Amino acid sequence: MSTVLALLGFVTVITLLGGLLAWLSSSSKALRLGFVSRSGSGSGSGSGSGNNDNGQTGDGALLPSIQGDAAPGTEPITRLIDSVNAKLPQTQCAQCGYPGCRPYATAIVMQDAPINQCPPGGDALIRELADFLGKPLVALDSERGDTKLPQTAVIDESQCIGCTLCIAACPVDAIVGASRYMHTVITDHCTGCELCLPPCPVDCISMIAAEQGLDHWCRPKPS
Amino acid sequence: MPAETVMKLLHHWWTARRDEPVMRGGLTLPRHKPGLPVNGEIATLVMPDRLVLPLLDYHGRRLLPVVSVGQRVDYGESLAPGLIASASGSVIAIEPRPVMHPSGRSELCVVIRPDENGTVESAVHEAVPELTEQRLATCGVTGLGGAGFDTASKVHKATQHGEQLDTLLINAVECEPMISCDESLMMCHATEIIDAIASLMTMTHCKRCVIAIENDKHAAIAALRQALDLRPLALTLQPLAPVYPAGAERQLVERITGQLLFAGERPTHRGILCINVATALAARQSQLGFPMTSRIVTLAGRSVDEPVNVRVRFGTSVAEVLRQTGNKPSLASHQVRTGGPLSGFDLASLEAPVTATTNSIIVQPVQPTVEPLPCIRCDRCSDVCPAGLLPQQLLWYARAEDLAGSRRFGLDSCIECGCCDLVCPSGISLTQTFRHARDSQREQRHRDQLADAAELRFHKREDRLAQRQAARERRRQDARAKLIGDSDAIGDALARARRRRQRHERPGQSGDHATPSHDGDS
Repeated sequence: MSTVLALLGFVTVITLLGGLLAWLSSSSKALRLGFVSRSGSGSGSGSGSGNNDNGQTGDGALLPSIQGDAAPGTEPITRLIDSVNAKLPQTQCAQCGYPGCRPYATAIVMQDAPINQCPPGGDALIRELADFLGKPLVALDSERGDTKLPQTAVIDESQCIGCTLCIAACPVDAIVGASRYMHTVITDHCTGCELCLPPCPVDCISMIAAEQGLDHWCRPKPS
Repeated sequence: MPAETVMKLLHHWWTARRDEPVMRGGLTLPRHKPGLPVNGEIATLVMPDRLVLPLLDYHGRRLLPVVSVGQRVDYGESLAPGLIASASGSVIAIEPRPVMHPSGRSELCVVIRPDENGTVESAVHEAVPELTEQRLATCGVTGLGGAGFDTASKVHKATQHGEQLDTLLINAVECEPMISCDESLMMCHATEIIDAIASLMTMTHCKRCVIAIENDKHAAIAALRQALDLRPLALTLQPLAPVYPAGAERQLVERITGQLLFAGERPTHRGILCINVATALAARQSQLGFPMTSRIVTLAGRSVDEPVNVRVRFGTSVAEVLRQTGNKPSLASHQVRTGGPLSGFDLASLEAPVTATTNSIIVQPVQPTVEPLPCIRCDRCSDVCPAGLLPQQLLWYARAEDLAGSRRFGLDSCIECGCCDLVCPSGISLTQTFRHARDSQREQRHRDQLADAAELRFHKREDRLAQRQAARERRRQDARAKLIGDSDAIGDALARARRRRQRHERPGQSGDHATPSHDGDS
């Protein structure tokens, strides 16, 4: 009799324990899933964020996958703006009609601004944005300007009068100089936005094709 | 098909039975090593009348010269950081000249006219008892295998982790057909090579040392064994079944140590130092005080009557090498290739000078280009890929310039060996497509970095302007607050103004425009 009772008790305990374990595991799974869906690129989804970097598109998803480099904990819309901003060329040339790349990225996300306003990004950027945001492909808005080859500004130093107007105009701090002293362009920092050209009173700034060394040469694609 | 599989299994079983490390993929090509030395000597070329030394490092980055035109330079003198004069003479020009590069572009070079003492090669530095990184750098030792890495920094990276170097791997494989410069070197200078390995072992304090060599290089193996008998060292001479590309660094490390490297990871990260056998000898020469100023070049190909290995001074043009060895090809009818028949590139100009990475000059009649046929998914390329990739799949992404997709299919792991091209029945240039994709990816990353930096500067500038504006606003408000707080001052000023206006208005007739001038005077 006592043996039977002990056996029964043992079975009950085992069942209870099993149930408890099952409940625990299911609830923890639910918790984990909730965490992932809330924070996207939080610490719990390292592998997920690794796959998302640099231009992977949300294939068929309603919302584009948000890039992993955005800071966790920020608003999803801010992270979406960050992702769009990361695709823009950051020339800060304002040819799009907005005062910089981030304002344009914000306008694309918040005000549904057209994605074909960025001449430096060109067709490649339009393709990327269309793919990323699930928008139709459009041609570049030719009123905004043409896509040019990489270029840099050069100051004819013998003509420069040191007026500092170009320094004030440069959006990326690529011109150095002081009042009534010669100015010069830091070639590596110049984005080729041409914003320094109009303010120059003596017209001593010109744009030249960005020269690249052999270390940046691309081996050609076979025909 | 089953017969092939059975043969493959049998081959694996056979190699495993012989206790030889097996390699993934690769091709067993017929041994073709022309121009091996016959009398144990390697000929040296006569000094040319011009030496052209490109001001470029192994990445292709430009170097700033530290010499000027007209200056006399000594043998072994530094011309730029990492570039040394290969003969004494005078600098007659620093100008753009064609360089040894697939782009065929001209880059700035130092042109030296050697003087009568130019051929004298004496020790420039004092011999040191132990090899140092410093010495490797001052003697300009760079890799003679293929990539031409700076040996000093490679040794530094391998030993900087504070731990003992795990493996010193001497790469004497030289798996590519038609290249036999390392094999000739081993046949003629085996004793010196063993001395060189001994100094490298002392320098790196390695736990073990392995010389990897293809097992069909019988003469070289015999010479090395003989030298090892004279000077016994605690190292393994590991003959390997000849498979192309067994000599590729990653494949060799995988085969010898069993460690699989990640994409982008270098053996130095794992405490493995992989050094070409010729580089090892150059390192030993630097210990004795000799700078690295020449290398052995294999001259071969169907249009070369007598294939030969010759010692060529850096800066000698390809045309000069061909002329001195009795060949007169023209680029119109011949195709001159350097770097090997599979992994090399065709030269655009014969004036390009020989550098540390010029292991061979192969002259062939121009071959008609064949239009590639569509991929038929035969899968042969993935069978031979030594990196274990699916080249046929990667090709689609690389062709479509889909860099994310290419990366998913292992573009970063491709070693550009050219095995897939060789087996492709459709004649598709897979490797060149991958090369293009790799370079585009590198440039994409570079552009992204520049964009990030520009964005950062833009935001810092905006912050700075905002701060300046805020400070101006604060000053204005402070001044205003001061004025408002000092109510008497405002009251007084208003009263003064009122008095003045009354004073002027009372005479009345002089009009309003006189008022400001009076105000200005008072």
